[in-house]
Amino acid sequence: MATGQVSRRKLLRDGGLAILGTGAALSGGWIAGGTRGAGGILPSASAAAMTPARGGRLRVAQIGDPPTLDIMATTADVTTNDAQGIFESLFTLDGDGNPQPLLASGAQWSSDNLTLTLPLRTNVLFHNGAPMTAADVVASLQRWLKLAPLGQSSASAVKGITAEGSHTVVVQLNRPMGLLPTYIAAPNAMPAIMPRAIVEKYGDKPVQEWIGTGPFMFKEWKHDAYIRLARWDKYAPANQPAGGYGGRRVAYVDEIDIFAVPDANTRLAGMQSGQYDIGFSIPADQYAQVKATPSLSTAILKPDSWFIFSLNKKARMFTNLKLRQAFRKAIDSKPIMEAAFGPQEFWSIASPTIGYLAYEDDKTGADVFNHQDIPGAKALLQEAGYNGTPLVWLTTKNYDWMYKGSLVAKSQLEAVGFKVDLQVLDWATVVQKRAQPEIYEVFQTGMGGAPAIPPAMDAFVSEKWPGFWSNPRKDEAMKKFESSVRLDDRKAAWSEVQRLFYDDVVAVKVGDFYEYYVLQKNVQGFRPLDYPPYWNVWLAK
Amino acid sequence: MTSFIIRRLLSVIPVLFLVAVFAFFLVHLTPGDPAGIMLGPLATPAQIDQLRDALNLNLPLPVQFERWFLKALRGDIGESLFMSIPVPLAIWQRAEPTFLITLMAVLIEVVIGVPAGILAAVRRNTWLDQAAIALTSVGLSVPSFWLALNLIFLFGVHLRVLPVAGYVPLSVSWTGALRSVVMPSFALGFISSALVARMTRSSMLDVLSQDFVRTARSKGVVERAVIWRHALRNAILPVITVVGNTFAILLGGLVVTEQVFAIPGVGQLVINSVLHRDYPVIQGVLLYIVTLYVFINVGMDIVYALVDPRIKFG
Repeated sequence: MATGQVSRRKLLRDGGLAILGTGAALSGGWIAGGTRGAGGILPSASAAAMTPARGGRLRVAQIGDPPTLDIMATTADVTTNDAQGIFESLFTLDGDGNPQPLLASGAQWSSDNLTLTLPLRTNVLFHNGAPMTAADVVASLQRWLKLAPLGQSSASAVKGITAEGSHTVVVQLNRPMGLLPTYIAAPNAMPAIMPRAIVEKYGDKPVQEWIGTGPFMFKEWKHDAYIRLARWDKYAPANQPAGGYGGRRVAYVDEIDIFAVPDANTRLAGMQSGQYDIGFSIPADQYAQVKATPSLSTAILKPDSWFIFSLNKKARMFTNLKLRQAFRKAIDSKPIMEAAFGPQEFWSIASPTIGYLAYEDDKTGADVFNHQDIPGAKALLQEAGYNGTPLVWLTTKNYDWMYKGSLVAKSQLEAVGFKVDLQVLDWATVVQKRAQPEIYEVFQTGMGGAPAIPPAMDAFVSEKWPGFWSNPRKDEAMKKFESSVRLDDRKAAWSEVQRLFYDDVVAVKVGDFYEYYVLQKNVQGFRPLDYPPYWNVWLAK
Repeated sequence: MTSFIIRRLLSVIPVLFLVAVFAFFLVHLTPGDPAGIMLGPLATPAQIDQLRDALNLNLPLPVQFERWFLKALRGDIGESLFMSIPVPLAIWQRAEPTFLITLMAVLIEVVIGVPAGILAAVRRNTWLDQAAIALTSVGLSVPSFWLALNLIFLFGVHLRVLPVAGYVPLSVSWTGALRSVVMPSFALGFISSALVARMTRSSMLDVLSQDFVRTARSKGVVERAVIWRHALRNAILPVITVVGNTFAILLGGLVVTEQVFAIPGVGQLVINSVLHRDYPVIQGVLLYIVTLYVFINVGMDIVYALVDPRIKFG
């Protein structure tokens, strides 16, 4: 549990036009402009109005040690949280979820959209004091293409990456791929730019020397106790306005101590006693206690993810569409969401959407989403000739909401005549078993965010991802989605995916859920993003 | 005596061998995969396979065992897959807080348990006896994590006299170290003191009803000496067994307590290595715990002989 590899929390809040440029800096085939605001993800007005103060030690309580600090080598959330202050990519995501240059100083598409020229900033120093050059960038990007999920999904489109001089990198593509800068900008498993020597030394294994270009540098890691970061004094910030992950990054605090505190009650107690400044993953049912503590404030990440029951469509009984439909008709979302997520402030069953922000208003599937129909389910079971074989459900107590949700769903399924074999395993075992189609019917997880960067963003669309959704029409729609540059075309393509998602009963969406962060009131400048950054955070005196 | 100790220590070798074989196959046959955990939830099967290759996890199990075993014979029990440090070092780094907490917990257990048990036995069937029994019943029934959380809320949150969680190493500050282990030690010590008290009471009652106690009393030995010199010395053996066992259990990892107090000790190492499927660490920790048990048992045998001259080693 300590590494918290649970839900794929979404990688970003896409503002809609995921492949948009950032205005004048990015010319060529890029379209400018984004329509949607950043919603609740900017610092509050009162915080912004206060004058930031330098100094102090920021103490963070999180659920446990990350599996590694090599941000490129894992998609584990804790790693991204802890290491995104150390490492930086060529782009980052602004408040609308659009890529914004970070270590690159801009980007230039060729007229056929097959060559992307990336000039690099010349004033960037690694934490070991060496200047960042194109050779480091080429080595890092190549490692990312090989190791990271987003890199791997880009790899087939990339013909070559070469250095032109000391501060320009050229990416040659063999098919247009407007999403590439967004992929590069996404924080989770980002193409962190590391010194070439380190990339070459560790190869496919996670690196053990954490040298990046970010505002904070690695200082110390006491396993299962804390990770200590310190301000990198020679940090050269980019100069865009702050928003999302983008804009000018300032390390206000001298040091950050990220403590591994596995017990949620202890994290809360530590927040109440003032031992920690920021508390991660404090369960929703402790929200009332947090609100009752005058020294604490909260920041809600809304919406965060959607709760799904993923159905195995490759083998066993759910290859039969009628049985999948019966499953969906048996489910009533409200009691499940209540059991799993507690107070109504933390969940919603209002929308059938399977993507957020620009895709949030899509009502496709509203006729079947959360429409419990017990007689209908029974009829379908009979029609399909269900013989009473128990359906195997893989669940876990490592994540309380998963267990509680599956427990309530089990009783709903039994009410229509399904037999359910609920197997309670640890999360690592669920992850292993769910990859074996011949042994189970259902598992549950959380899905994140706007469909900006498939297939990693929306794992369920991938045929390889457990659940194993195979449909040529889906593949075609996804191709359109990935290649389209206009938002309307992308929305239309995504709407088609959503229609097929409901037609095929790929999985059952139960509802949307939120997350919150707990802060001491003197913590200012905190942004409740999926991976809340520690830069631009200061401690008011 | 010396030859007894040597023989006992030598007997650990076949035990360790069996445990090593058992541990290796147990952890490798458990479902779950370190590569999958390391790579995170979005990893593709191809990626996982690639990393498994790099970590030599794709070799046939007998080959992996052979490699591991040959190294283990030379005293090299491997390196943590996640921390990239040798397993003994990983255990050593965690030993300090676990050792401190264990020591303090056993101290608390004895200081509360033994006098409570003696008092209950000597004042048998009085309100004191009943109060001691009631207290120990509470101790036996309360889960340690519940007691731990209540201590945290009382001393950490409300009174703010102790840190809520975490550990300050001795090398940084010994007062800090003591402050961070007070609550976990009490949570463990109070609960096992119940067992010690009950054991002391029943053992004392047995002894107090024996002839030599009556003889001592009839000789006019003062009651204090009867209890402390004559009775207790005879009653204490089973208590030593209980204390020794709790010592071994606690040293082997205070899994729940260390979780609750976020203490980077052996218990946390155990649980995280299992959750991460960090095979070399799980194996190493199992060997460490077994060795510990054997040594503590030998130690207890020696203490028996010191306390009770009738015990001789053949």
